Amino acid sequence: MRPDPDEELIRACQQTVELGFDGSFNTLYERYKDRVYNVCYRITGSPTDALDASQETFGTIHRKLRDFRFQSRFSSWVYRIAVNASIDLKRRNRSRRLASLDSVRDGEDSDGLRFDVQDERIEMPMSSASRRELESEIQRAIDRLSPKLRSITILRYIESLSYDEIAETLEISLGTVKSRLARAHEALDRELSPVLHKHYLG
Amino acid sequence: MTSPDCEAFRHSALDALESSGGHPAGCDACAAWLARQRQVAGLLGMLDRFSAPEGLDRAVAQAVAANQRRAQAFATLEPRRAPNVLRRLVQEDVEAGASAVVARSLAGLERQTAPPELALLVAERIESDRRQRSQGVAPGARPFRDGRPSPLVLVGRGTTPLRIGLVAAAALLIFSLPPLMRSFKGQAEGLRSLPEPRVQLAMVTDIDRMDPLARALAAGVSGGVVDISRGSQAAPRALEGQR
Repeated sequence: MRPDPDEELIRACQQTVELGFDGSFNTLYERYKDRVYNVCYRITGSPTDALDASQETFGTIHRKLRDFRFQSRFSSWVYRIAVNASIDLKRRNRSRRLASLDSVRDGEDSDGLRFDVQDERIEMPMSSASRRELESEIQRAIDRLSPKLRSITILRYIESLSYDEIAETLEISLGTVKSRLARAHEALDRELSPVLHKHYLG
Repeated sequence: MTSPDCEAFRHSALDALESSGGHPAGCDACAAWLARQRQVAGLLGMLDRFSAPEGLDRAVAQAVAANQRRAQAFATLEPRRAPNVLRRLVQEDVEAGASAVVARSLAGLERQTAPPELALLVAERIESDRRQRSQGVAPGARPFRDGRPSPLVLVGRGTTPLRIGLVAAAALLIFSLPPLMRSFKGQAEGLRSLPEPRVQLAMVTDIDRMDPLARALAAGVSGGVVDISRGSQAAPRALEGQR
């Protein structure tokens, strides 16, 4: 296995007697906060839930960091905690969200996309409103996937993980990664059919 | 339905979304599928990546502080040694097996108090029995629907109805057994090894001395004349009989 790029920082955290939100742990946090937040947001589909899930993720990392034994990459471990925290939170909140006004408010927030886009790679050939509408439709299609297919889609297309990294994160075999991704594509193909037609042919 | 070759190609093609080998060149379905999947991937790639909001910094700082407080609290706890008696208790459980678990579970069951409705039901039953007795019907006997007592019910006190009912039950037993046994004899050979039944004819005046099966039979045959809830003090007199 290739050396873990975070190993030095992790060892420094593990050797700190009282690990607080400063020093090495703060550096780790800064390194992973955007990644964790994006995974949590795309899985939960809600900025509020994404914040809660991210907080829970880093709380868990802080608690369990001393027990991390480098049996996998640190990034895979972090993603795994984030995915599980997000799925659990979404499951807990599902009935409440469907029954309450929060669902309406969350929908408005995700449509509004309050947060800054810092990725300069994204091209914007269309107007902001059209782009926001398109993103909302894509996010809704992702929300309709099962938790397993949603996780693999996010890790592959939002976080750009390789098949090996996804397998390590989700603790599944390479074959399972491929078959789940194929099923995710199949489901998204169906869900996004109108969008595909409009975007590529319209 | 896709062929195994198409499935294998499609699984591997998603990795790089490039054609793997010459399969798409020879398969229009897979070529079309590949083009479609590239479009799906293109749409997914358009999703924005966000910066974590400022609120996350504060939230994580709070979570970390909470973890530290918890760790400090746990550090002050002194480890406790298991008491010596635990070894004996565990050994007893292991030797007793499942019965120990069952006994403990049963001991923990809550004793129920009788519901208030029970008193009402009992009072109603006592009143119904009293009414039936005043009409000359044995308590518990089922009258006709219009309330007339069943013709099988005999009026009276004492042991006469009891004797009649018992003899009837015994007679039923005696006369029904031979035909049953003859039919058994005509069947498979294995039945021949069954011991010949012995029939004991007993005349008793004390309900309590009767076999429970005979008691229930007598109550049913007599139409409730034989009151199995009451008994007399007379001693039984048994007649031995063999088939």
